Amino acid sequence: MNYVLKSSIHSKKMSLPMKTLIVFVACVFLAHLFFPQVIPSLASSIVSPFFKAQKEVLVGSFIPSEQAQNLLLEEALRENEELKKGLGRTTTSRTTLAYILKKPPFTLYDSYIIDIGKDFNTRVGNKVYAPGGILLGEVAHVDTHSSRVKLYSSSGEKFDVFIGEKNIEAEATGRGGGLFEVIIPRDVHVVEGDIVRVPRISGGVFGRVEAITLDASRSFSSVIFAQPVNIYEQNWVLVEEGNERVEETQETATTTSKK
Amino acid sequence: MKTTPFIRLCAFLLSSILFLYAPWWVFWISVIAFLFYFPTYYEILVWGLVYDSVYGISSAGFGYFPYVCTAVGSILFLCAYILKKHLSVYE
Repeated sequence: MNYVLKSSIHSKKMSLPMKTLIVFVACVFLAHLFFPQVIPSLASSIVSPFFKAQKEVLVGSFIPSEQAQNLLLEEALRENEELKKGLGRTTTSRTTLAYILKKPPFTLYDSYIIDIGKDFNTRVGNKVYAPGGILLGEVAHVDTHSSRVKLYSSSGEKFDVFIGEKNIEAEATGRGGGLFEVIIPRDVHVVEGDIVRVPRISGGVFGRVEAITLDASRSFSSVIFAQPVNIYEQNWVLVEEGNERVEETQETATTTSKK
Repeated sequence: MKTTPFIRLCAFLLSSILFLYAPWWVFWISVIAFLFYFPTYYEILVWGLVYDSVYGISSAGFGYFPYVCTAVGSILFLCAYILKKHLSVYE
């Protein structure tokens, strides 16, 4: 009698696709652990010529939208009055013009790929503005000749804002597509059309309140605001170099020294 | 299903063009279609990794995980592998 060994009945070798999958996942994990920039740099260097070729064909104009211009004019007049009563501090910021190589819906996330990188001294965290000075997001990843910009309207992104003339401080959450949501107590007085600002010295207009949702059963209200620029229509952005610099005017320095 | 190297090459070229110039959902629909057309479509693993390398950012919506498309590609590959074992059209 021949007895078939138990192990030979139930032995199953792992198939090639499964082995490939496991090896692939392990390689990605090890590459991320020891060489996190190799694969992104290599991939970006391969696709950059194709994006730049597309840019040569599709270069657009650098004009702020009419809505953005009007909103900025209102805010500039208000800020001018406040600054006249202030201490005469001025700000300077240097920016670099960048062309958007890829934008939503071509990108999966609310993000841009722009055509400046380490070659223009771009760094992670540099703020990015639409034409006219509307803050859009910040640089999230820098390659040699391009960078990826994470828009603040990306779903789940949180940051502090001031709402209205009373500068009501709140935390805004991105909802995607250029929209934001703020949850504030119901008793706080916010109306549609209030300007939303980010904590900055020089204005920092961010958006305008579009809708307010009140729920009688809850003690909070939901404020939806949008930026005055369409993130899907932008072709150019301004990338801030380093941090905003604050300088005192000579008059203020003289006044301070006399005291 | 019979697939020749020429068809595979055409699929790769089409995927490359869609990756560079088409919206993300067009690209991923085509890749998923190829995943089920070819008996074993290893390229989806590479496309996921390349997509994250070129377009990926650590977004709060995905818990700041930097390899979302790589994970999605791997899961799709695994699901397709398991599903194909039970479909006679792939025998």
